[in-house]
Amino acid sequence: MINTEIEILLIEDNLNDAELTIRALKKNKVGNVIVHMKDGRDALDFLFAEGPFEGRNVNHKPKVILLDLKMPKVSGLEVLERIKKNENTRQIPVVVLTSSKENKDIDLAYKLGANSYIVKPVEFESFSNAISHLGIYWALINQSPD
Amino acid sequence: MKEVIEFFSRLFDSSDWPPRWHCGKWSELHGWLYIISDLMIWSAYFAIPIVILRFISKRNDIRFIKLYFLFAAFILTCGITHLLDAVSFWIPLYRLNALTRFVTGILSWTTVYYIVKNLPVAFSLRSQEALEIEIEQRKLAEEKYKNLNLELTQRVEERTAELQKIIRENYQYKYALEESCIVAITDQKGIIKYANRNFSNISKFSQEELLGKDHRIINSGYHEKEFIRELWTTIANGKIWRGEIKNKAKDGTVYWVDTTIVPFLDEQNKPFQYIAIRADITSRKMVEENLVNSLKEVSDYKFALDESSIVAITDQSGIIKYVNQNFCNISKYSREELIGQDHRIINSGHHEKEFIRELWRTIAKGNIWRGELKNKAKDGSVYWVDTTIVPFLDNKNKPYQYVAIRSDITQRKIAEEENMILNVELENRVRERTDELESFSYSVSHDLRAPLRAINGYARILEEDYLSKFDKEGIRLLGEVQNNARRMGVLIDDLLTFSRLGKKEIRKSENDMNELITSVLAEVGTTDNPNVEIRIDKLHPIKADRALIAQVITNLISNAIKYSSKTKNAIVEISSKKINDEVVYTVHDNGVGFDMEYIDKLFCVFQRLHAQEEFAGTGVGLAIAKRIIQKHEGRIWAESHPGNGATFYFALPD
Repeated sequence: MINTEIEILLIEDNLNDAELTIRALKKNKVGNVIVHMKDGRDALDFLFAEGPFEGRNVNHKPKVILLDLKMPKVSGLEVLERIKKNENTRQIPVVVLTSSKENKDIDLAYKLGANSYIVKPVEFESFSNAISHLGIYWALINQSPD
Repeated sequence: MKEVIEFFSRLFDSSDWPPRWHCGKWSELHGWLYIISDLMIWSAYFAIPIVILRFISKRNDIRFIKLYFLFAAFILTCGITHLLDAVSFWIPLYRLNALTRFVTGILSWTTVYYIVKNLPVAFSLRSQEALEIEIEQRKLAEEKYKNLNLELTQRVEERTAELQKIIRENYQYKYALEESCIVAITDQKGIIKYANRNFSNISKFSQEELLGKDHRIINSGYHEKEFIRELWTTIANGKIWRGEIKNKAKDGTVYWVDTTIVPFLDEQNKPFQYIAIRADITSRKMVEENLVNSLKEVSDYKFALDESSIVAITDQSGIIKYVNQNFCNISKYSREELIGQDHRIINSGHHEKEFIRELWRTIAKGNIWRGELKNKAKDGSVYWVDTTIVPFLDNKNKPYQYVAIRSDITQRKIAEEENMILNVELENRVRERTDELESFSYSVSHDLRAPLRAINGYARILEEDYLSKFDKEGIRLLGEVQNNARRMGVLIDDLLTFSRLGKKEIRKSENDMNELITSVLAEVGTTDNPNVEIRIDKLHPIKADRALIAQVITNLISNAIKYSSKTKNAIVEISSKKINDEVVYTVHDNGVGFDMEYIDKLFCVFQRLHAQEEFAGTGVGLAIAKRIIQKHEGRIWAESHPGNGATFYFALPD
């Protein structure tokens, strides 16, 4: 898994949300290869092949990153900032996941270079739809420059 | 006798003697010297009397006139003898000659007699020089006399002019006195013998009414008996009395006169009449009375001011000239310590230099300064005074002194300070609370949603993957789980909206309400009640926060649609009316309405007047609407009767 091509990187601390998100994506046949990182630190290590992920081929870049903003240790915004500052990862589209559209972090996320955001709806169906629409959009239609 | 007759009869007979030439031996020279000398003497002796006579005839002051005549006659006769002597060289009239000589002799002696007789008198006559000196003196004396005379004449003229002037002036004085003053003359008993027109005018008594009366006729009764007695004592003793008297006119009105009574005395120094000269000073007296009242008022004010306030007076450079007791009390300095000092003595150093400078700029320009000052008392304690400084201006509009009136506001200031601290505390607490609320909202939106999402999600998985394993009841229960989770999501959303309103700032803009309502309707839709008819009047525009007012409209219209969903021919009407300075918008429906008994709960959060089964809802919508309208300083209210529909009103300031 470490060196395979990744289609979607999901960074989400809430395991329920993660499970439901992955299920929704799979059900809609968006991503066959989905990597889930349960916090910001792990996500960064994974992306830059550091720590437990040392030796991973950094060129195996995800086509899209789904990033939860509220996470312990390293927050979503920090992760976003690191991704957008790094030459290697800058091009990867990042979709921010948030619980509320009135969250002021959304503005900040856009400033830091987020490409889109999804409000995680409470209702499963809307949630599932939103996730799959976005996943499809970013992973399949909106190809990265490389 | 015969001889005498013969002598006179032959007086001019020269036959008895030869002419002189022939008598003796005369040389031609000797004879002619004789003849010519005699002729010269004769002509001279003839001329002298003529001169004397002329002299006498020209002067009438000649004394000894007889002597002059005698002298003239004597000279004349003497001359004739010399003539006859000369003639006798040819005609020797010796008889006539003798007679002439006799006459001459007689005249000579007569002259001598007179001269001798008048000699003492002649000696007493002054000499010419003495005479001239005397004449000179006489002239001087005369001159002096003339001058004196002239002077006297002048003086007499001057005196006359003066007298005339005095007489004229006297007349004018009298005229002026009569015109300007109230004049009365009384006899020694005070009976009026004369009163001028002014007297009549002011007393309103005619002159006839006044004459023969005494002054009791105009007595106002104002003065004490002692006063009147003193007046009479003075004038009865021949002294002038001066004073101010209040009199009463015929019509009862009173007037004040400045009075001078002059007694006129007879030979025994007893007054035989009095002249009273009065001037109307009623208006002055009134002014005086007013002045006295004003002064009293002023002193009352001063007393009140001194009692109530802290008063200080300084000169234009701020040196303290006066302080009242309150000033001393509050500053704890004695009057002596304060006077001569400037206000720096009580400067607490609390105020910035610019503040003090501004104060001085204001009062130096002649403007009143008002403000609150923190001062320091002698013992170092501080006190606050509400201060008004009033500049007093001189003719050039420059302040020459300042009156500072202060009141002690230390207590208030302390209270204010406490209040401020309290306020700051309160604000802090509010901020803390708001922050708490904020984080609460955040946690609600994130943390409460997540498990809800999980419940929904897993229920959905159950539904999708395990439905075949559920019996009918199991499926129903799963449905309930999903419903409640959904409702909880809506509740959380509404609650978040409501709590965020508190912080939200209003951004007002002009809103076309018809356009706004149309867009709201497009969003709300009528899916809950497809048959509803919505009627919208032409609405007044309003200045308000568009998003917030849209929220209110959304809530009211969706309520109207919801609660009329069970009514046939459901109608929702929206209208507006401008009343005074408000625009009142009305949303009316013909739905189920509500019981007015619970109107108090209508706009409260989480309060519902209908069961969830009947009409779904969270009970937050109207609370949100109310909060928005209140934020716009408007009003919101409603009226209804169950079954008769409901009408919601909201009024916004125009």
